[in-house]
Amino acid sequence: MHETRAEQVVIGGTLVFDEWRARPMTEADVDFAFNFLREEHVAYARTPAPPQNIEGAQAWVTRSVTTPSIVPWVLEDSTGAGAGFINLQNYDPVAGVTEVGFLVVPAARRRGLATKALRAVTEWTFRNLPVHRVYLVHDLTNTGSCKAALASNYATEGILRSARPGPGGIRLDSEIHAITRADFEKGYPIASRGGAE
Amino acid sequence: MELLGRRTLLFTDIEGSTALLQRVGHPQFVELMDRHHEIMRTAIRNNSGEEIRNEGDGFVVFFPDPLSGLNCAIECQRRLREGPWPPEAAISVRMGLHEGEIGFSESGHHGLALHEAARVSSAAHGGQVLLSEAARDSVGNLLPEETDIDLIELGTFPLKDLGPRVPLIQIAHPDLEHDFPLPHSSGGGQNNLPSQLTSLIGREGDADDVDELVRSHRLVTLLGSGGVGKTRLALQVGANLGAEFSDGVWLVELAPIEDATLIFDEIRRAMRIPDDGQGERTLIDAVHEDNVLIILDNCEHILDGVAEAVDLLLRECPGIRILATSREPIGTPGEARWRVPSLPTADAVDLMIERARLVAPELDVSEEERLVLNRVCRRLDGIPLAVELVAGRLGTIPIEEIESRLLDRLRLLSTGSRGYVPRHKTLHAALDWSYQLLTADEQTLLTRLAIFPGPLELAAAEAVCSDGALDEYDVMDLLESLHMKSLISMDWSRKPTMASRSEIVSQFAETLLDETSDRERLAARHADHYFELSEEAAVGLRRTNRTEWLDRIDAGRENLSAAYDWLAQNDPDRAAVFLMNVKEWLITSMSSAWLARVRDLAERDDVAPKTIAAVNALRAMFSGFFDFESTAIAASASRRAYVHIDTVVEPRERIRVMTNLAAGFRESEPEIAGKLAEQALAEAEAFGVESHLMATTLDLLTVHDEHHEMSKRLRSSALELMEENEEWTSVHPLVDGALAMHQTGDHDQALRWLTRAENMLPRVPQAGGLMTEDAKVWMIWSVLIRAEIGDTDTAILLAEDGLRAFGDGHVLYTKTLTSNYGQALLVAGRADEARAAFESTLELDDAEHYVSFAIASLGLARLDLDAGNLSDATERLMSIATQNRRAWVRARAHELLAACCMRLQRWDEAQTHVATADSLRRPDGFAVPPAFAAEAELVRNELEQRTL
Ligand SMILES: CC(C)(COP(=O)(O)OP(=O)(O)OC[C@H]1O[C@@H](n2cnc3c(N)ncnc32)[C@H](O)[C@@H]1OP(=O)(O)O)[C@@H](O)C(=O)NCCC(=O)NCCS
Repeated sequence: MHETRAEQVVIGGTLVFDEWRARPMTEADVDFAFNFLREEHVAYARTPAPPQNIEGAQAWVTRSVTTPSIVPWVLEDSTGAGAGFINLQNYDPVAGVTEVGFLVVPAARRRGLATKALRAVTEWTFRNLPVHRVYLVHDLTNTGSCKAALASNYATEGILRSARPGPGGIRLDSEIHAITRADFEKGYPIASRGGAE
Repeated sequence: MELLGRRTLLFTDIEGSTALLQRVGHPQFVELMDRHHEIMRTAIRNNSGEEIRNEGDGFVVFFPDPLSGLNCAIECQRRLREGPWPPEAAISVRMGLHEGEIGFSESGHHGLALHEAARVSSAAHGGQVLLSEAARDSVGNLLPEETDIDLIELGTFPLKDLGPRVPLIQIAHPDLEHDFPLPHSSGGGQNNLPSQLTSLIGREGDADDVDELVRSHRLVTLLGSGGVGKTRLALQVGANLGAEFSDGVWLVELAPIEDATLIFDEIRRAMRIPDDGQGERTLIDAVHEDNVLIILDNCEHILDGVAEAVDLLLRECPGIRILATSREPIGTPGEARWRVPSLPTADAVDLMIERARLVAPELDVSEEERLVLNRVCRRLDGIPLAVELVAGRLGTIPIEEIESRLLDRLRLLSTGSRGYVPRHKTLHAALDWSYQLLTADEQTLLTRLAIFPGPLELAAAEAVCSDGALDEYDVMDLLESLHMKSLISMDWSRKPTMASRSEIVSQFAETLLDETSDRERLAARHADHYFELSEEAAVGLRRTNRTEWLDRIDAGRENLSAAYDWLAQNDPDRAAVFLMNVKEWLITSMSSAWLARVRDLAERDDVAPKTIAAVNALRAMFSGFFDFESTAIAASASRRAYVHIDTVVEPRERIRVMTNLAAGFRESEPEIAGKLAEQALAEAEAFGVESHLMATTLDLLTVHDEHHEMSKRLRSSALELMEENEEWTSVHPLVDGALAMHQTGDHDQALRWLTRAENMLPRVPQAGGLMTEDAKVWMIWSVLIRAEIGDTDTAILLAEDGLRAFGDGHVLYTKTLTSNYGQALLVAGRADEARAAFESTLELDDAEHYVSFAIASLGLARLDLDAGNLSDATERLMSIATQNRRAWVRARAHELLAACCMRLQRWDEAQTHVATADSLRRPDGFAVPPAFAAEAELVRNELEQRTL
């Protein structure tokens, strides 16, 4: 576990890619969060049990937007409807490292959104934050996230055995991917056309 | 042909010899047979019998006189009883003694009497000696004054070739067993008609008329108002005609059903046809060629539904006849309507007096009093139920008083100038009259019983109906007195005793309950009681006496449904626990209505997370494991359950939820399934309640598949636990365990477990008989295991018995048995028959995740290979090797692929396949079945030589 040493809350920029965009999360996103976090696959992929009530969701949103080590975005489609979340977490400006994570609503899955959002956020991060390494951890069996990571130039680094405390006291294996600033600068075709505001 | 004259004949036959053979194997079976023959022959010799025929498991013996025959039968049974026999291999013989004319020609002995004697003996149970009327008549006078022998009249039974009703007599003797169920009457099929404890009065002519009507019409409706005796008459007709319907007579009680869509379900259930979720098709497919009589009792409240159902059944199933009872005609074309008349007054009086004497045996009726009763019965319109209600009072209230009170009441109801009282009002008046005469406590109890929608155990009445106003200890007496007054009827033949009411009395009690403010309170207590019962069942269903529990739940199912529905509405947390409690029953019955309840609760969002977890885990288990819904739904329910699992904190529930969830995840997330199973086991061990650990261990055996290490541990601890707790085993896990052991190479242990499972089956399965679901499961896997260890004789015998006995039941069972039959034929070298069996397996259903699919496909590939058809074999095998999710299936595919490659002289490829197979089997993992071991060895040896 990283000791996170971010002190200032960072607000991400609004990123636009194809018909989608990512905008910073606000306190007002609580209803979307409430419904979304309870969606079957999302609930399953996250460790804490989904919020039981709107207060639980509110706490999650508040924590996301007020914690310095978290930089949260809401993904939206062209109509402005919520399509998912992506965020930096465990952001540590002193160590120059951050983790990235994302979730996509069922209706928007398998259309490249996770991949595009990940690329956009990765680019924004290297351009705007003192970060040298962005890593991504997913359940070993989560094909979608794994492919999105590979397609975004994140190298596979290895298997983290029993890394995630799953419900019921069982531990699940994870896989870790990461991209370094050097990888990023070597470049890969970037889909994002957005940038810092 | 030469006539030998009249002879006494004894027929004997070993009960369940096929099963015995399969249980003990060939060598020991032969020993047992020798011992049996020796015993029989000694007794035959001692009683001057002449052995005419010996058919392996039975003898035909002639005697010079009937007494010798009788003595011989007794001696045989006594010696057989003494044995000694090895444990679990006692031989039990049924015997029939008969007398008749016998002829003799070159081809042997002839005569109808031989056939008749065979029928008599096949009606007997093992250990029992039955006599025909002829044998009884001639032996009767020969019995000495002082004798231990007693001849007991068992009643008359339909026996094939002998006529519709044949008297059967049992020999009783201190040396013989004497408690037997009713004789097997082979004339008709099965039935589920309740035994009638009271005689039918004044209806003999009516019954004959209706018999004729049913013979000439496919749909007959007995019409009449409530209480006129439609049901009783229908039951009589059913019993009379039993012998004419080879597939049985089935009573379907429709009164408790409110939803017309459940009619098919109810018929199916009554006929004990397993549910395979296909709705009405399940029933139609099962009975479309059957010769059955279905009695639909009390149709009036769902006439449209009945009309549709009847129409469909009659159209699709040419051998079906339906006898319905209803207040209104069903209205389907071709319906023969028969209005059940009131009893003629004289018969009504007889009925009244006879029923009164059941309560007051000493009752004396003077001529004068008879006249009064005549008037009473006329005023009661000869409605039998009304007559019976009054009869209950005859011993206690002076007859004149009965008349005056009753007539007063009826007068109040009369309308119009001629004092006409509509029939239903007459009955209501009689009920009301009877009710008013009850004590206050009896009235309260009768009213409260309305909360039970169906037959109930007496303890349930005590628990639900008693309170400050009604003492719990009085309830039993009150029930008995309500029974005496014909308001409820007690069935003491059931354990525990059940009470039920006629439809009319139920409705009457309903209206009484509506007048009180007690309904909600009673409903809650009713739900409490059945919840408690489900808690007991959770334990009972896992123990050796589980069949009793299955029966008990079945008998109380209307109450359980009502209680569950109340809980689902008012206390969903307990509803979920209730479902977990009766899981074993749900698995056995696979009732669509109950599985729908599981689904509905699983989809609710307004319940506590722990309930979401519990019920979704259950749904996942049913879907993933028992194919109740798609595997996608299983995966989704599993995920839903999994994220909430930590909200289940009560250890007992938590362990059950994890266990169910492990089964649910087996297909979609095998890794997680394995981890959950480990965790559940660890928590069960820590929890430390043995019964719970046992249940968990046994349940988890079924998740074994891909997790050798854990399944090894599970099996040894299951074994240990079962060794310590005889009463904690049940058929399913034993069979699952046996299969797992067999697959991992421990064949002896597998056979031992199969034997243990078999000993738990309620009855030795026999061809033609109904098999329980447990018996089917046992048979299916016994066939495979026997086949794969090379005991093909037993496997084939067993499978052929099974295929006959499974009939049209659940397709999953049939196809799995068929694939395993194919395996036995394949090992036995009967290639063409094996191919046919495999092909028909895949025709029944080719869903890839079944073991039957794997066995049939591998078998076909192997047959193609043997026939030199290498390209077909390779194609089939490649797809199995790359797609099947079972390691042992893929391993076997690779082994066969290696054999294909060697035929094509592609040594390197063959080598690769062998290596892949080995790594799939892993050293401590799945073994090559003994039947295929030699050829696998051959392939390896040849390869080794090639590559040297
Ligand atoms: C996993 C998840 C983020 C993927 O989002 P998405 O927008 O559908 O992903 P993309 O469309 O960019 O898909 C990327 C690749 O993965 C594949 N993929 C996506 N979901 C998949 C799945 N469930 N199974 C197999 N492949 C999948 C896509 O086909 C695509 O493959 P391709 O590049 O070969 O065409 C999304 O499904 C989700 O939120 N799931 C639930 C929560 C979750 O698992 N989160 C992961 C936390 S680390």
